[in-house]
Amino acid sequence: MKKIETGKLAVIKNIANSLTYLKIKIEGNGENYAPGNFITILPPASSARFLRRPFSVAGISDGSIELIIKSIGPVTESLASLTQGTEIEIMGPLGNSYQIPENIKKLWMIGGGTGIASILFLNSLRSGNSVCIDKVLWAGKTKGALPSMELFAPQLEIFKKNIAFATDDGSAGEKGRAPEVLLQWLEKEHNPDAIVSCGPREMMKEIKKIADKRAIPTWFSMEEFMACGSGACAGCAVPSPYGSMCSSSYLKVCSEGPVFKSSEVIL
Amino acid sequence: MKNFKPESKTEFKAQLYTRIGKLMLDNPFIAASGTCGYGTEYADILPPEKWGALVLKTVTVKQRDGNKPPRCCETDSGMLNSIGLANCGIEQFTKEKLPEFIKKFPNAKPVVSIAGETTEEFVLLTGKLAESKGINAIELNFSCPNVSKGGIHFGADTSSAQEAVKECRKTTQLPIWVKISPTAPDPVKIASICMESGADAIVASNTVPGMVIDIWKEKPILGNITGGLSGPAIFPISLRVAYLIAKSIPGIPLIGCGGVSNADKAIQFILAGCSAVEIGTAVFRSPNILYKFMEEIKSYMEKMGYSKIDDFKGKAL
Ligand SMILES: Cc1cc2nc3c(=O)[nH]c(=O)nc-3n(C[C@H](O)[C@H](O)[C@H](O)COP(=O)(O)OP(=O)(O)OC[C@H]3O[C@@H](n4cnc5c(N)ncnc54)[C@H](O)[C@@H]3O)c2cc1C
Ligand SMILES: Cc1cc2nc3c(=O)[nH]c(=O)nc-3n(C[C@H](O)[C@H](O)[C@H](O)COP(=O)(O)O)c2cc1C
Ligand code: FES
Repeated sequence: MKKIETGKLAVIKNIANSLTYLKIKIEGNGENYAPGNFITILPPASSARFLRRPFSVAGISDGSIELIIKSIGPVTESLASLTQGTEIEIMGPLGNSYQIPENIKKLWMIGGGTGIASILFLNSLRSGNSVCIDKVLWAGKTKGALPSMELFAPQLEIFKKNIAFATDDGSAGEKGRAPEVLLQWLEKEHNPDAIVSCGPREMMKEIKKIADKRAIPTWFSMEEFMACGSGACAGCAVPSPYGSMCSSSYLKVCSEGPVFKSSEVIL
Repeated sequence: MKNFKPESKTEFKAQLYTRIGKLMLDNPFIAASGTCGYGTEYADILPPEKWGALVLKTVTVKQRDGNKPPRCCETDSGMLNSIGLANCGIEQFTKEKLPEFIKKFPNAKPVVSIAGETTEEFVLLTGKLAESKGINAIELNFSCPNVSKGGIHFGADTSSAQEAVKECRKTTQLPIWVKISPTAPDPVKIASICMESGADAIVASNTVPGMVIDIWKEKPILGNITGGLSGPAIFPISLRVAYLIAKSIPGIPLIGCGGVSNADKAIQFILAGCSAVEIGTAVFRSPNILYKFMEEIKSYMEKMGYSKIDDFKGKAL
């Protein structure tokens, strides 16, 4: 059940160029949040914006919601400049969550940019399961777009050891765009049981092609501009080959997603 | 022992009930069509029966998938949407959506918004709704094109408006509200013709057409290119339309709509002659905003010494 509540900013850290880690203390311990879920934040007054903004939950720890936010406009910029102790109004949990079948032991999770957020949450829950041999790829354009693992991994629970990095120019981690690195991995290793991915549409499109060719089950977490975040406005439609009860060609990212089987959406 | 305070004679309680034609509402705040879905989507946050009424998403004869995405974006002090009347169609609406809502929230006051492409479609929809129970009013969404009249909006053409209202009136006993467009060349004329043709109230008004361009992609942001502007940006426009109508047609049952983001704006609509206001975009920002509206309007009424909405309705006319 979703609710609106006022949380308190417990930690705020700049972790890379334009990338901020936030930890917002909420009532209770966040046990109703699952990987894939998102929240919407009421814009801080300093942003002079009106509509709430959606952000994926990157983790839950110490009764706090963890977020990774890229500054790209008024609301994300003003969130990045908040100070510890500031009150933030959130609504959540919203959307569905990753439903990874139990028999999936080898899951590859590919995040482009802040698309990594929900993947970090999923990874931290699965990392407790010793039979899982999962890998995470966090892809960014250049070194500056990615956090330094040495600096942050010891401090922040959500950064697990199985995370690999890649940059388009090879300035950090493996060289290549996410789909290229995926192909390299596939050459070296047996196919994973499944793939999950979140990031730019183009990236997911290429990943879908690669996964479909090898019949690897894949889930995508989608982003689309949202007005209500609650399934009320039909503003967040993504094209789908068969749609849902109310529409033959679209699905609502906020309420029917954000996580979809790759066959459910047209990227 | 409980601290017992006897009621003093001077104790003052503002009452929020209001009347729109024959219909009584507990308070003057109505959720606007397209922003409260089929009534249930925000129920975790705000019980729908708290609203004076809820106008459900506009329903059409056939299911509509809606426009190409992106369908919304924020603009200065508002937003643009080009949802394209995506809805489940009248069959599923009357068989599932409406009965589900009424069963779950028997004390809520649903109003059903309909849109047709011809007068016949409006009549067909009204007829289908006559078989449903629990509807408090039908809102005719006149911001849609009349295809049999070359695509001119029902609300922009007096003869289209007149015909559609007259025919719907013959088909239903339910109150008929007509939601007009702020771009109608002569909103006063449309309002008066609708009332003469049997409407019970006018909703003034709807979104204002607009567009935005992404300067980096060098193309319009909305998949549909243009959309409807809503939110605080349009308030003065909607208020003017309501004011002009109320001024020219004394006593007309009127509902203000467009840009209400706090109780101050709602009070302005009431001072301009409205019995109630519809609220859309502000609900996206704060789905529980109704509580704040109720508190703020009561506080205004108490400060001004008004005991009911009617005490200050139309005072600025
Ligand atoms: C389900 C979901 C989860 C998300 N998770 C994260 C996250 O974990 N971290 C993060 O940094 N961002 C995330 N986003 C994106 C985030 O919501 C936007 O970056 C934010 O709304 C931008 O607000 P702004 O005022 O700073 O910029 P704006 O001025 O509103 O936007 C700047 C630019 O980004 C585009 N944009 C705005 N909103 C979206 C959107 N929802 N999807 C795609 N493009 C958009 C605009 O068209 C514009 O070009 C998520 C979005 C969704 C839908
Ligand atoms: C996303 C969205 C969807 C809408 N859908 C409808 C609709 O289906 N029918 C209708 O009559 N008005 C629709 N409207 C218009 C609103 O009901 C309202 O008239 C308008 O937004 C102005 O009010 P506001 O500024 O309070 O939002 C929609 C508005 C928005 C923002
Ligand atoms: S954002 Fe309103 S339905 Fe998804």
